[in-house]
Amino acid sequence: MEKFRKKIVISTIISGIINLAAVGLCIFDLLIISEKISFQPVNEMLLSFQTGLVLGIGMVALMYTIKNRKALRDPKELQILYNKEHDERQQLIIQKAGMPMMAYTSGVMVIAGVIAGYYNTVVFYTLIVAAMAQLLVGLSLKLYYSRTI
Amino acid sequence: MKVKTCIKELRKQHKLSQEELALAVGTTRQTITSIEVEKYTASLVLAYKIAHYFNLSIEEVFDFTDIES
Repeated sequence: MEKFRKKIVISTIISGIINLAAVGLCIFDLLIISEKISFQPVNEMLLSFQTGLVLGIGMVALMYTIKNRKALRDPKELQILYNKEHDERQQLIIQKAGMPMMAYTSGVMVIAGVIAGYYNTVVFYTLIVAAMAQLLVGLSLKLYYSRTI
Repeated sequence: MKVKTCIKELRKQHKLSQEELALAVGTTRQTITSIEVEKYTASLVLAYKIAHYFNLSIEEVFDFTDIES
């Protein structure tokens, strides 16, 4: 359990850093949108998407920070979190939904889409829609197996 | 392959909630629910942990007659 506690501490630190980075990037994007800082002309849609994406990542990181801090304060909560992470049924559901790989490839596609968006808008839309569709399939499968297993 | 169990009855005898049993055997409440309603078949390790918690053998907690036939 001590090993798991250390893992949660590290995870809390990482999510805290992600939170700070997300806030910083959001402020940067807002400054570009309000034209307070000059930057090379950027597609407005791409910039809005980036801001939304960063905000979303920040929110998820914040949720993890709160959850982890709560678990670190209460040993019972830590045990529940440990059980949840090591639950065999949950692992089976995740495996059946093909989730870890699907989430990773979707993440890579989103990053690639954002980068490609600076050069070609069509590639940006294609990659983002494909990533979203892939995530939707993964999440639907996860939901389906959560109810049937 | 579905395996019948008497976990629900044992829980009631010991006045245990699903959450308390889950916490004791290192799993989640949802997994205990799935095992009780025969949606999910516990692994050998989890079956052992549950049986051991109630001081019973695996065969006394899980009914394997369907598999044998």
